[in-house]
Amino acid sequence: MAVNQFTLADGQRAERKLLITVAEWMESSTPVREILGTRTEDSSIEYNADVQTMTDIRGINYTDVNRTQPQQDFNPFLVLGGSKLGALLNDIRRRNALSELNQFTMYIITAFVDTGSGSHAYECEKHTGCTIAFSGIGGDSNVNFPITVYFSNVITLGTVNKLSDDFAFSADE
Amino acid sequence: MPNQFNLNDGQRAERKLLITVAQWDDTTGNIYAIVPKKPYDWTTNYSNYYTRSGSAPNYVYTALQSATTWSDNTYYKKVFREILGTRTEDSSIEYNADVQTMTDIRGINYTDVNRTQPQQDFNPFLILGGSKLGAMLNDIRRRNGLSELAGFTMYVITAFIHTGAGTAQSPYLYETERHLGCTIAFSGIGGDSNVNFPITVYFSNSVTLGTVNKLSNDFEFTPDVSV
Repeated sequence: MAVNQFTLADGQRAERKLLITVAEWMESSTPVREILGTRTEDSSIEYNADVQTMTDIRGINYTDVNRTQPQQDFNPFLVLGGSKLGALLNDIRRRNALSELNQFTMYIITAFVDTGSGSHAYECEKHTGCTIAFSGIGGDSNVNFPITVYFSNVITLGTVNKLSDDFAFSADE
Repeated sequence: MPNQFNLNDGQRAERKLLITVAQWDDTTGNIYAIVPKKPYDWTTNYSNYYTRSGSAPNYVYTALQSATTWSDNTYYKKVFREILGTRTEDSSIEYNADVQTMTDIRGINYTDVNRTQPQQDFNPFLILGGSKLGAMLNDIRRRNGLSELAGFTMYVITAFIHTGAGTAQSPYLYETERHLGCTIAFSGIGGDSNVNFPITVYFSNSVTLGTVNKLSNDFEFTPDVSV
């Protein structure tokens, strides 16, 4: 399959807001979503690749990327009114119900690749069975509740039709 | 005797004279590159390989009509190339040498450099419009197709060493190292104002020495000595 090129002019940078991470979980059999990043100034998916380089007796190097364990920190992740994810995680925190932290479906929307014609079709990766862990709660002026998303790599590729949290995900054929 | 630097005494080599170029196979590529070794699909996908006729700059490339006897450095294939470093302010090839020093019973030190595993980080490596390498790596990233990261040919052009007079009859030929079977790995994606997608190039040390005839990505690599 051909690689879809960036939907950007030559040399144009992709603004950070075009890389979107969305959490989804079920409440009363209904999916709830939240776009992550509010009040977070800098956040990256770190792939934590297991890279092995070996040198054979001829002096040639072979470098293998064996696996990735992607994760993304959101710090600060403020306790904010209206945040359903924050409320859910805080509820889990206070009950110490840690096994409930791995119920998430995560979407990574790369809005700098739009394959739609007429309507939008932004490339998107859907990871099921992801974990969101909190690392602390506290801070100085406001209550910070920093979190880390651990992506599962159980991936379904597809597209979404909009960048708000009510998007429809369409899996690639 | 090694070729000397084409710099005046005491003149520094500007950073832009050390150029790293990534190359990868693509049947829609816009550049024809010579094929050094017999590819695995030589007998089945022969139509992806070309012979060249004519003379520069008006070469004519003709796809093979049937499988023929293989010969190294004879046939061409379509590739993409990208010069690395756009928007990167500082980047070096780190050699990660395995250095061992031992001292014998006479107190003499012997230091051996046993191997190198060169690598080069590009950070930031921004998601930029028009970057075919960025688009391909992003496609691999989203599919988690990690084994596809290992198929790159890398060129390291040391443009501060060249032969030739810089004329039409005698163009500059810049010293270049070509590494086959290299890996490019991404380490993350994200950032603050713009999307950063930092990468590391792992050089194979499967080196062919040679020259290139220009510093744009449509250069022609001419091997000289294989090590």
